[in-house]
Amino acid sequence: MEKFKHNIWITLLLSIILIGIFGYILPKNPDKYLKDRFWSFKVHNSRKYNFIILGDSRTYRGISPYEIENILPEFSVFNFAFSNGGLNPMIYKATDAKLNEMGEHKIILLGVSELTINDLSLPNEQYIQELTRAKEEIFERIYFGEYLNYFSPVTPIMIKDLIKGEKMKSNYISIYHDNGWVESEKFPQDTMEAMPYYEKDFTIHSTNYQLVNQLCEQIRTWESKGIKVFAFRPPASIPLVALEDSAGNYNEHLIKQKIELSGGHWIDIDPTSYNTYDGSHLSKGEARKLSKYIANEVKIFLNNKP
Amino acid sequence: MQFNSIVFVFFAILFFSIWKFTKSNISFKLIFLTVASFLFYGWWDWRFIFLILFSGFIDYFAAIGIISYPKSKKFLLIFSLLANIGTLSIFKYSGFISENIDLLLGTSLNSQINNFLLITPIGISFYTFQSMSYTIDVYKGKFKPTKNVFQFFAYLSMFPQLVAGPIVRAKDMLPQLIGQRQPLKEDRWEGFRLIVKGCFKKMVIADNLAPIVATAFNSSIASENSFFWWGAVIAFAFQIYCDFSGYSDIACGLARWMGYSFPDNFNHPYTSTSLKDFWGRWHISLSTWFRDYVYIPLGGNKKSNYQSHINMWITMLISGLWHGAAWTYIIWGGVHALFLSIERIIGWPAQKQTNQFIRFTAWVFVILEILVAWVFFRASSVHQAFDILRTMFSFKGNLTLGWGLNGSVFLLIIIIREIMVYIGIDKKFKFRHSIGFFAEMLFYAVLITLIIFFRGNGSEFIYFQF
Repeated sequence: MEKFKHNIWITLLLSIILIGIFGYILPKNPDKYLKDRFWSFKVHNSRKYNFIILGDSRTYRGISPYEIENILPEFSVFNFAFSNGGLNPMIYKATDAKLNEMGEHKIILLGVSELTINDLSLPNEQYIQELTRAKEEIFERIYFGEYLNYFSPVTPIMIKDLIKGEKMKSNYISIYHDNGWVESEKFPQDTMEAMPYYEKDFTIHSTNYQLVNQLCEQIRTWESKGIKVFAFRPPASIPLVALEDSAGNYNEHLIKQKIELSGGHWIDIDPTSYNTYDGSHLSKGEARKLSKYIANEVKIFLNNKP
Repeated sequence: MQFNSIVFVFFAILFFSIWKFTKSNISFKLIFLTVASFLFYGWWDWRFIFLILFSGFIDYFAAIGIISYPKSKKFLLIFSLLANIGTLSIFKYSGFISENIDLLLGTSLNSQINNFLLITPIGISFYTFQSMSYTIDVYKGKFKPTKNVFQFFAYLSMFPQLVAGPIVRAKDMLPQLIGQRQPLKEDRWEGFRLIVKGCFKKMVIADNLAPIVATAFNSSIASENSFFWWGAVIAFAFQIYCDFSGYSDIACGLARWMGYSFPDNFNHPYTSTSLKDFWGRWHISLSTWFRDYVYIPLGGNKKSNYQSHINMWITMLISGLWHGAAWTYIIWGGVHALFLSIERIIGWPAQKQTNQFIRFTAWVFVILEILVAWVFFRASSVHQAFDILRTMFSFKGNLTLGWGLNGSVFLLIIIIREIMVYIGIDKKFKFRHSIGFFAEMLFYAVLITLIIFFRGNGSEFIYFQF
């Protein structure tokens, strides 16, 4: 064989064979491409809605647009919440862009947890990360993610588990919906699981009431444009709610008062009525229950409107 | 457009499919290369193509002017330097300068700067320096300027090295551009090997170390564990090395496919036994640029010993500022200057080779110096850098890195590789005979497979920001 003559082609051929074999053998994370697609679609889809939900992970896991649309069929509902989804002017602007100009009613529902109004979450980094993603990557995630999953990367830990014959842990089930809801379930449930993370975050970053004032200003603007604003505190476990109140300096009464004075409508939620799987997030059944409750509250309000 | 993206794969396939038809027509080749390079750059943000054109045209005409009007050559050189440094100052340093003026004088300059000017165009420091060196070399009479505008822009904007080097010199590149040389099979194979190695370094090593480094440095609560920080800083040292040298390898590989040759930019810097040695192995094209265009014009080491230290300090501080508009980068340059001064005073580089033990001790000290300097380079503030160093040298806490298996494997791979180079056993693994050729092809096929399945979360090359 003449040196260098076909080296590249032979190497590529060997690579294809190896990739084919390893792609077949190596474990896959079936969630990965669905998750990537979900977030890219959430930020970059150009559809318009007349009921938009804002908040953090407690909201995007906890509010199902399907239930709201069942009770309020005249609305097309979109869950536009993000992990550590700080409520800031950038997200307000993006929400305005997603709102349908047409239609009689327009509603914004705010899941106001402590994390949405503290300095830590203020930048809403997940939204920015998606927003600034390269256009070809967005295209790839939305349209080719499923096919590229064959080549999805693995980690040394996954290889170790494969060698030891352990199956990938899939005790955390997330189903990603195009309407922005993440239908979640986790086994076994541990309502104290999230506490250490929140303890750390709340100790450093407590509620910033300037951000609450900024939010109220935005509510006034929305209300002046005829957009109805509803807000609620996403339910959590009793210890977490207590931690949010104490370490996070979250004063629900004051926040409710400020929002109502700005023209918004506060929906009271009894946290003891909902079970979380990790102390912070609602499983799919609980999320449906909460969504129905909120939708009914909104319906009552709209029906009673003079 | 990034080398580690699917869109670049399509771009490269299209480019090289057309490239092979350009061999007989130099003008078409230069136009094609220029247009392709602008497309490559404009993919990120087309508005900044005008900045390359602006910087380029100034140097193109200034260089011609220097030859045509010898009496005004000094003025033309100064004009070119001011225009280049001015552009760099506006787009890279205006935020930093205004912030510091605001801090000193209590003004609010920073808030008045247009947001567009606060975006640092990718690779601005690289192409500005390349453009500047062209005019300086013409001024010094090292070569005659080209009158072919496409030859000039093909040199300035050549896509493999446009955004993160290596910084190539016009005297080396301009003759290659108008040459008829087409890549040989050896060039293609060598280019292929460089591209695969570069992708492996970037996508497997650097991108898998990136989350460890980011978690450590971006965390709102700093760990009080010394061992954790030593691990994080070592991880960063290898992340930036693999990220940047990976980019350089890919750039050199692409150039080889085009039939060109770029200078080596890295030569296993962490095997250095003196800082002087380190700077001869790390980002070589930039180090030599600073040596030739800053250090030597300042007087180099031709004047007094004291003056040579001052010259070296100035060069290193400017090098720090070149990397980024922040005090942390300037201090990074200062830390290197300090250790380089100490080495010179005690005559370290000359003494280090006397025996293996001294060589090893020298290596340990050099690695420590480099790691201390990297803390400043990576930290988000001077305050954070000092906090990290305090924790690192307090030697407290337990022996946990907090990474698990994932990060450790990739760090270990690159450390073993560099140790092999340090001890010299890597040379024994050269593929020589016919079985060796097959083994070599299999080796690169395995590397490609590892790139596909062990790639980290794709991220931008670190040096793009410089």
